[in-house]
Amino acid sequence: MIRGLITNVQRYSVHDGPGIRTTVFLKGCPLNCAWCHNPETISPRPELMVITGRCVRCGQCADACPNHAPVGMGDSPAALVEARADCLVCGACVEVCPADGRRMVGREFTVPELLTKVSRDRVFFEESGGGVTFSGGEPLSQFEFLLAGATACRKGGLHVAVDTSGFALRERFEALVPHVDLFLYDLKSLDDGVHRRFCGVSNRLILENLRWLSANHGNLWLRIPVIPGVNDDPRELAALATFAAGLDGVKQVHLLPYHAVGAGKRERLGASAAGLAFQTPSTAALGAARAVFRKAGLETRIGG
Amino acid sequence: MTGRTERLRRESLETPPRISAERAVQLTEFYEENAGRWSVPVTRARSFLHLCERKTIHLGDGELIIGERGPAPKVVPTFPELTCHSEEDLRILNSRPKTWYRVDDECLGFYREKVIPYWRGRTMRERIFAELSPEWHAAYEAGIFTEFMEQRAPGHTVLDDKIYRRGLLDFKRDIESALAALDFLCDPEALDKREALKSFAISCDAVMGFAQRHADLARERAAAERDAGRKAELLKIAEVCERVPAHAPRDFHEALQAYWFCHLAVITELNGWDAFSPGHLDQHLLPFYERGLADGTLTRETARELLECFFIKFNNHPAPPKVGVTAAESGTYTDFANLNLGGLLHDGTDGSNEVSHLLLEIIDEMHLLQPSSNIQLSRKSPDAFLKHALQVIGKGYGFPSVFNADAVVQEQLRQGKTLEDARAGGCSGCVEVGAFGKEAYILTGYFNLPKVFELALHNGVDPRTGRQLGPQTGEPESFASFDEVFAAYRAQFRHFLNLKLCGNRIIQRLYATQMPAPFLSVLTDDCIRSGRDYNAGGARYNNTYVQFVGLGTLTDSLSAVRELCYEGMGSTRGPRVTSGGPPDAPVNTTDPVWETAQGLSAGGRKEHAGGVWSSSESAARLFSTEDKRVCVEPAAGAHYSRRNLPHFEKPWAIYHITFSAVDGHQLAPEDREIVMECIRHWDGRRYRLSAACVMPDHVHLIIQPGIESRDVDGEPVFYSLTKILHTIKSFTAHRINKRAERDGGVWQKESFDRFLRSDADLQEKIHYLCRNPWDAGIVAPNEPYPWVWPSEAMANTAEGSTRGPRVTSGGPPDAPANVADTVPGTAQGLSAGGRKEHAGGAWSPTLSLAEFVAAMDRDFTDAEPLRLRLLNKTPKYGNDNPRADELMTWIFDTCVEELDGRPDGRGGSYRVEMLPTTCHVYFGSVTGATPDGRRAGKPLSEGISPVQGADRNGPTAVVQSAAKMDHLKSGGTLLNLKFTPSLVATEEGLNKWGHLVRGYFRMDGHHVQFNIVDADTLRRARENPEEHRDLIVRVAGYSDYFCDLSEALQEEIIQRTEHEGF
Repeated sequence: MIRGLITNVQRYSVHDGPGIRTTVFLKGCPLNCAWCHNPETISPRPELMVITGRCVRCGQCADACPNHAPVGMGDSPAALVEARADCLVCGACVEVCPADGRRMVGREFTVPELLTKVSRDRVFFEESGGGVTFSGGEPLSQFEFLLAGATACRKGGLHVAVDTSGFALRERFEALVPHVDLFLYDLKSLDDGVHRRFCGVSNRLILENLRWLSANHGNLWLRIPVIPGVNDDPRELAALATFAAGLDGVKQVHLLPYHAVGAGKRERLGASAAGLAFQTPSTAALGAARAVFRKAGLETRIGG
Repeated sequence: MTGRTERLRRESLETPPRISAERAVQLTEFYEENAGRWSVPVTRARSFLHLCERKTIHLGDGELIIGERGPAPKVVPTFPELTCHSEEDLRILNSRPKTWYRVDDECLGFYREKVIPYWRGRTMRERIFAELSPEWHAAYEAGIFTEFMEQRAPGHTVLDDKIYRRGLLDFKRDIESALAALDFLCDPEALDKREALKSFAISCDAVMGFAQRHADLARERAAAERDAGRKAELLKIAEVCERVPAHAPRDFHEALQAYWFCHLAVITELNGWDAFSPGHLDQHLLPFYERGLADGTLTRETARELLECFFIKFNNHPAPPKVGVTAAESGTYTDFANLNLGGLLHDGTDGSNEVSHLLLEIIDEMHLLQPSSNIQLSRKSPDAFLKHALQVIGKGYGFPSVFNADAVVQEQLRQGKTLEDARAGGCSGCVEVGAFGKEAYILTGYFNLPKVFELALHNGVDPRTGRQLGPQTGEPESFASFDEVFAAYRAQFRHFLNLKLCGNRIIQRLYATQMPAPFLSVLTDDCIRSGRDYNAGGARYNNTYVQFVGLGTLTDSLSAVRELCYEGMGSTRGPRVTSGGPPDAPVNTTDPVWETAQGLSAGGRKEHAGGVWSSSESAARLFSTEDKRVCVEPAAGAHYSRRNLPHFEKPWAIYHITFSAVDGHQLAPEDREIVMECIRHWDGRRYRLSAACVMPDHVHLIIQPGIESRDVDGEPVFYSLTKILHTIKSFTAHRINKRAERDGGVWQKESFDRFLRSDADLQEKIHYLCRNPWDAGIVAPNEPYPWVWPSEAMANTAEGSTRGPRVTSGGPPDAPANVADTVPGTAQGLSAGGRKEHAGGAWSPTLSLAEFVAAMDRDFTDAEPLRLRLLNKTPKYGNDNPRADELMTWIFDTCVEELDGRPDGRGGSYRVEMLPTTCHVYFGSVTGATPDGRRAGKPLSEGISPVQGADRNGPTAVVQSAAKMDHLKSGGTLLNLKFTPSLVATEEGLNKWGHLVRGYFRMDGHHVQFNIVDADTLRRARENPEEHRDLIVRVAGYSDYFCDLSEALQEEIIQRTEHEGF
């Protein structure tokens, strides 16, 4: 049976599509955006997240750890790195930590399990026109599971949205299109150099898929993170707006202001470097950006 | 607001509340002269007339709606016939830091000289206390329940539309007809009825005279008024006061003033709980509003100004303060008058209208403490109405609260009311349903559920005082099952509930005979027709409530006890087979479920193990250790899992597993040590180890996988063999390679597992395993081989007794002491998280209930890890977790089964209400630490809300959990949800919020109210995350739990919330 690796099934998710939704975060992403606010979804493997501030030094993790060296108990950064290197991510320390200071990021679900779980809020989906959103990570990276999950949800009468970076083979989109009501399509930059530099991959495939989806699915919400110094230049924004306005399938544009929430999460995952720091865009700048898109005739809002 | 109402509002807010002795003195004078001259009802009515004729009346500058209960705004009269404040009470009221009332020396003097000397020993409070049993007093003092009527009179009532259609003169005619119809020939109660009806008539005269005095005052002021505009207003006021409430009102102004006189009369006659409320004000006012607009005598603006004046009148009336010890604690100024907006009309159509929106605007603009407000939301209510209300709620005043009008109707139908009366009903001061103007529904007191459980855990003794308060239902160590624990709780619950009901019968009778409420009776159908007082069962419908407090705390406490001590992941028992509902009370009842589940020895799993051991099943081998693929049908209940081999995972199955080193790799002794240590490490964590043997090129182990988690339906999910083997193989490979400084594979990818189907099978395999090194000729017959566990000698012993502890119970082998010593994590005391004898993880935590209770009695001192585990790792109500929510329904159903429908003292029935007001704080202060990890003295959960900070799956999960109780069997439930302003700031956020409410009501939820949290709350959450783990904030484009964010981000959100302000 197909299993998907999922970091979180979030209920009353109100920023990921229409109505009240349950968002399923699939783990693993081929991109590595410098501003990623869900860095725990990048790696395709289970990870251990440690919230050191909650530690009460009870030592139960040390007992439970087969190495007797649980990540996060060492005081020095060097000890931390070493513990990470030896860590099996077996989850034993997570099970015993009484303080909720440790979390396993990534749990396997079968499709029926997932369907049972997301169906629990059906009454709210029905009241609000909501449903299920598959997000991530890049959900198309776990394609078999995504396809089976989306099909099962649809069959169960649930509205299905897929939040994608667009970085996936065309065939996958082709197979997915009949089973998805709405695509939330992330677009970072039209400049391939910028895209490669900050996201780690070229945007060619992403743009091609976007054009194809626009023509062949027709219900897309474009989601553009606004990252100062990366894509908030007026010319860049205008180019994005012009590009988006030329796509018939794009029904709405959401400008997602950069936020530093990812940095704290990276730390808890044991990332050594803090990564690049960006500014949070000002309200005025966001308003101006929105105006650019509205002027291009696009229904635009700030935030998801 | 207009300039006038802005000023009046400011005055109302700025005027300090004061106590006036006027009513007390006038009443005392009346009783000194007249006590004993007439029947009780007539005496009460005449005392009321006496007050209405004499009390100081007030007409403020610029007021349009007039009349005060005290001599001036914010001046509060007292009710010594109910409760007489002592001098000390009054001084405390004057000086306490919060919700103080100014008391001047003159007032104190009156009390000292006149009021106290007369009323000492005569007050209702003293008479009630004198009649109640010592057991009642003991329970009351221990904080098991409170008693409403020791402070105030029965009330909690709401007016219908009658005063807008008829005047008091009309009611007087009804009274006269009823008097004329009395049958002194046949009716033994004829005299009682005559006295009651006489009292009703006198009270009408009192109120009409009171209105006339106001009319006279207005004319007097008009005569002296120079300003022509104000003069005209005063003349209009005089005209209004001459008209109403004697006659039915003709216009909007008269309608409001008519209600206000009735309101003042009810709250002057007696100090009933929750003052008095106008009910469906929007529906009642609509005809006057429309008529006024049509004939040009009213505009939206003038209507609005009149309503604003009307609102200010409510705010001018702080609740009369209580007496006794509670006076030292802060209370509240609010008197719980409550407006119902929207709802349904008599014919079942939508009741919201233009006046509803007008009122919402005023609630928003004035945001006064009083009157409180709620919307009655039906399926038929338009979204625009809901959205308007949510916009107001989003401002963070905490009101209006939101009721499910359809549920409110159904609850009342269940109580036996007619459909029309139910629709015309709604909710009064708090959340209880009532047929407005036709029902006496009396709240009798709060009931402390967690305290009752505390007594059940202490054999009926209150650990705070050491007193035996309840029946002896068993010491903690005597409970063999969780059902026995619950049965003990239920026995205690029944005992104290009965005690409370016995007290209620005395109190209700005292009120019926000694303290009638004549004017309230005039306003309540069918008191006139029946010739009976409101307090004596004269109303068309009578219901009596007990309000249960601490549902969330008790649910989580029971859940923790069940999880840690009986059936949890760490328990040695199997899961409950069925969950039919709460077990019944008789303490010694043996639950048939448990009889089967108990099995043979301590922690036996006969029921589940049956499938494993008892082998009526065919002994067909699923897999042989040699043959890789023998395809068979999966056993019933088996889970198919995809790995290298087909595998069947059956609950509580025991497996023999073999895996081999890669070809040619020989494990050095050090490597074998690593492997054996690792296998032993997981024993008691992820599986129970029956036997293991590490050979130079392969490994055998016999294990029984433990419960990893529960699925969404609460069913156990076992550790998969995949996960278990992955952990062992990858860990040991890593260590072996590291030791030898080499790379590459150590283990073959595949493993072989065989499901052991019978005792004999298991015995044979253990035997085989333990002899393997010798049989294989690795070691000489008399040489030791250290990497076998347990030793052959032990295996022989086990074999010798057919039902040895290890084999038959599947329990941990009785390892020799030196083995136990090498198992990491053994001998961790309670302090390290409550693992008494075995290491953490899957099997460990079986903590005995006695030890658990001992830890609570120490308030978890030195057991912080245990407390944290209780907070973080046990199933909690409010997360849509079936394990926890099932217990919530047990508790609720127990309340309903034990209370609902029992006869009260007024010919009515008892009903269940889940309402805390602020009593969860007091109840918490008298309740020790609870098994959910709550420390002694901390507040309990309120209403049906989850424990503060326990819900971590978002608002839909809270609402799903709350909807699992059958709200329609209650007379009201209260659910609080917290939102941050940013979540509901946008149009879309508002819409989704509305859908959340509609979804809850679709599941028959009764009521929900929203706390929009402010920056201070967020600051508290940062300091004390434990109690605020449920707070969701919008970060940017997404939302997250506040307590999960980094400190910097938390600070930023606090700043932003502060900035957004209200």
